Amino acid sequence: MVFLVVVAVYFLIPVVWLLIASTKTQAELQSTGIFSLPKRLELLQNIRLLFAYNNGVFARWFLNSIIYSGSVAILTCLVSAMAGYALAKFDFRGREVLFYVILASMMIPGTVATIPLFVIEQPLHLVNTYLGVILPLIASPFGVYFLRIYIRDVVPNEMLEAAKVDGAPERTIFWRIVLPVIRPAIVTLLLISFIGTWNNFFLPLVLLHNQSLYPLPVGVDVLLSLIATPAADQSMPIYQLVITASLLSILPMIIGFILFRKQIVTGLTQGSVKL
Amino acid sequence: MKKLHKKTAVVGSMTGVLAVLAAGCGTSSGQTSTATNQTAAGSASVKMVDGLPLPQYNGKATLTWWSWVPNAQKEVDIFEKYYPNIKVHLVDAGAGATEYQKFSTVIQAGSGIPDVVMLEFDVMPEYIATGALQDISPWVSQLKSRFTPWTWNQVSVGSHVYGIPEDTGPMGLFYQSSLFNKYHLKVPTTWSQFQQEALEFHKLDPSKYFSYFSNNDGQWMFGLLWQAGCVPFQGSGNNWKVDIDSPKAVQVFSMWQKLVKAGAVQSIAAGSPEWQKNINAGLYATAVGSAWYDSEILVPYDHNLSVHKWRAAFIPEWTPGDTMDGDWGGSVQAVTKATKYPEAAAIFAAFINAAPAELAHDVAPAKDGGGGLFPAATAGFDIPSFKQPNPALDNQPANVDVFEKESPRVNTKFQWSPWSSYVFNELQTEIGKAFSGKESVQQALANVQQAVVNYARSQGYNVTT
Amino acid sequence: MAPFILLFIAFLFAPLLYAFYTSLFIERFGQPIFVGFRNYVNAFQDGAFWSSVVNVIRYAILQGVIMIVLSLILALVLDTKYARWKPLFRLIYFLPYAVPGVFASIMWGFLYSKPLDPLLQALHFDPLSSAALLYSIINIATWEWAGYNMTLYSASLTGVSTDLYEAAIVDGCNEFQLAWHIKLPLLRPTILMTVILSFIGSMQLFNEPFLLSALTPISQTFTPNMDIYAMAFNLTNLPYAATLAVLLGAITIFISACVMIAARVIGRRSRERTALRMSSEEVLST
Repeated sequence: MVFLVVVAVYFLIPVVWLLIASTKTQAELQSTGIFSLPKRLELLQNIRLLFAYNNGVFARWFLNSIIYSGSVAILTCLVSAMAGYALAKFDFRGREVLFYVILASMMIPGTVATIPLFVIEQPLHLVNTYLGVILPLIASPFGVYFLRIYIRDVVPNEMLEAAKVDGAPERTIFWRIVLPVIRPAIVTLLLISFIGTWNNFFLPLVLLHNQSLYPLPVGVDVLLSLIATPAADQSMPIYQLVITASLLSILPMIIGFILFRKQIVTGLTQGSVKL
Repeated sequence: MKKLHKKTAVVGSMTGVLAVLAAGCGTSSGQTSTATNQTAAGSASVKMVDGLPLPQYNGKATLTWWSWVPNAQKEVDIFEKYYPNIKVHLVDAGAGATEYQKFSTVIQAGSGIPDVVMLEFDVMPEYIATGALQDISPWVSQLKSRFTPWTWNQVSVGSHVYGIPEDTGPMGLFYQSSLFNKYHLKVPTTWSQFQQEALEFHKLDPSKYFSYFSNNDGQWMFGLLWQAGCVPFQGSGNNWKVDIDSPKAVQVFSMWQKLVKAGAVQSIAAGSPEWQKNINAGLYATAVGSAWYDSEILVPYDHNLSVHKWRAAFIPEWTPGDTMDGDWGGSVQAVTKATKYPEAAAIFAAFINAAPAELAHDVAPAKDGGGGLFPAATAGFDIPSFKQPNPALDNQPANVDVFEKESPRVNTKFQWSPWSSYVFNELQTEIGKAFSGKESVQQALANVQQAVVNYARSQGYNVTT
Repeated sequence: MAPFILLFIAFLFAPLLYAFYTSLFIERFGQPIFVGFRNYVNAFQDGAFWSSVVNVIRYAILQGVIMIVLSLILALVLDTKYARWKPLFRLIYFLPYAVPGVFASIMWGFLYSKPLDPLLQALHFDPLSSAALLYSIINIATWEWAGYNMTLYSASLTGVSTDLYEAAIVDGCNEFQLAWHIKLPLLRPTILMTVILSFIGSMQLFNEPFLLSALTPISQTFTPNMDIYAMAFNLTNLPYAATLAVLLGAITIFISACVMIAARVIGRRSRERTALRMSSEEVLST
């Protein structure tokens, strides 16, 4: 029991520190102990400074993160559901081979493809665009694998055949029968790919070079780097900007995570236990 | 201009960046059917613009400019008064390595390339070798005599010119006169004196360091070599001579290693939070810096300037009487090959760095809305604000006292290689090992030499040693 | 199916193929020159790259062992009857999963920062010094992923029918023996999977050192991915960056495959042993 509490404290320390630190002024941060409470709560002032920084570019990063994560999550679900459905319920030549190729591609380090991805995207004019970041993330081998298993196990063949006998076109079957049945799995995948995209750093770092297109992690990295940049305006409380930006970037994720934990856990375990 | 930290950064003058960024996505606006005509006509009609022999420009051009100089928009405003046909969009793409990473990205992407880009001297050969820069000699070669000689060598290969020098950083020794008075120290004029005083000072006040060694700054380390008369790289195009582990270089780093080992000098990452704290606390009696050191390091990080009373002095000499100096920091406005308006870009780059109207702005302190630069164009030395007493340095007119005199002493033979980032990383790693006692300085430099030669050869360069 | 295949090919397969193609050239003055496999020959002699590979392999093993042991202990302890407030603990342990690696690195980076932390000053300990750096990064990664792995293990355990446990308890197993003899073997496939996933993740180490380098000097060849990034964007040498990327991918897949095969062989042997022991026990008990 003591052990469990100690470990819990370990997992909470950084977050608690972030909460405390974001309520301090920069002077207090540098002069007081790391867990000592400030005399006056400066959180609102810090947030105000953050949103004032560089004409409110932080709000833009936040919005970008929502755009990237939201569209990747929705499109991944759609594309993976289609592919998963085809792999689960259609017999075609090379189906097994294809499935194993997809499975194997999960083993390739994601960042290995990122540099060449950059090269592929340049003639397509996708470098430094929203689409350039979104499209590669939609092709999710995990999503396809996960939904293929789910559809195979959950969607009854009789139901599909009955629909076919009634003369329903494939498209209708997919939208009206398959999707509703696999809704729980879709919700899970939606959440997982939303989190995954929100957390992604390397891909947008490589593909984007315009601050107004950055998602939060890449943007906050810019802020962080100001600490060691004398040419930056050192009269700004840079530490406070970074700390407050970090807090605002992870808060929605933590709240969402607590609300939707059940769906995420089932999804992760169903997807992985069977691997 | 110089950026301390290797990895990243975005700079000061943040105002209006968003609007500018939006416009900075490319130079795609407008058709370019007239561009080639302008190029041909350009070299013919030279006029005097604000006392500078530059081509007239009758066509219309829109330029994108990446820069991290403080208050750069002001430079644009001044320029546009003299050349109303040329519109310039300033983009803040970060400082130093951050900007280079983005610049490499857009070059390889083939889109979003700026017309004019701010580069430090040490990366010029790399971008010349990658074919990213444009020869602008037809429009600017007449300006050569207006710049500090070594700077022009570093922006040109033979008769080709790839950019206009902006500012430099002749090196000097900064010292806290308060501490020097307290302990009755003399400002060292030779490195052996520096060494001796460092060891003495450490005994007098063990809570402080005599100086610090920037273990994360290859550019600074090469500044030390430059000042000692080392010429690690020589060549152009495909043919290079590499000589990093010369006896002189071993001597330079051995001295620092000895002082670090004795505890008289701290080996630390300049720019790191700990270093910032130490600067603010006045923990270093001296600092090996250069002309911009007060405005870019002391003013931002030392909030006790009036107590510490920093002053600048000549860099100590290796051989008494040999006044050779090196350079640390300094940059260029380079014109890119991708520009549709090479002539307009060349005019812009030349004008902002050499026209008297611009120089007056360039040399004014950054906090007063100026550029805070030590100009590469020698005309800048005659500007009244350049000569004024410097409030950050105990009201010493340091430019007149020290740096104006150091500038012509900078060794003109020194060259950078096309692999600077690689060289810096190797040097920092190996010097780190040497300073922690894992290998000798000689071994460390030999390893750097070997690694650099191997890398350069693997990239198809013809390397001699 | 079609949209996925298209995206899959365009954004995963094509880049890999193209990476390989690019790696057969060098670039001089903006022009590609075909050099065959010379980049690979050079890469094999590239000391900095191999030491970065050794670095991440060492990191992968250390971090992997620490994290997986910790997550296993947590999962097993939370699965015993002694633990209370299980859902709360599970939630807290799993929480870092929602924190992006970038922000985890920033938070820990500041906690590691000596000037901000009187305790570190008093201890004269600098977690960001080059000697401690690898371990400091291991700590960040463990913080980020231990709860995630614990969740996977917990889920596998709840899937097990309770009959098995009851039978064991009837046989006189205590909680520890239960965990050691019954639960752990049951978790074997999940453990193997997490080992492989964590290994693949570790080989790509980038975010943590990249961000920490704002606070302390870190070599740009500290990890292979940092090396690749620096090659591509600091040295503008895309062909060689591609070469190193291809090599890193090959090494990762090779080691993962070896681990999987080894695990399968060991798994079969130990299953045979267990079967043998069980049958002999049956013989004895009758």
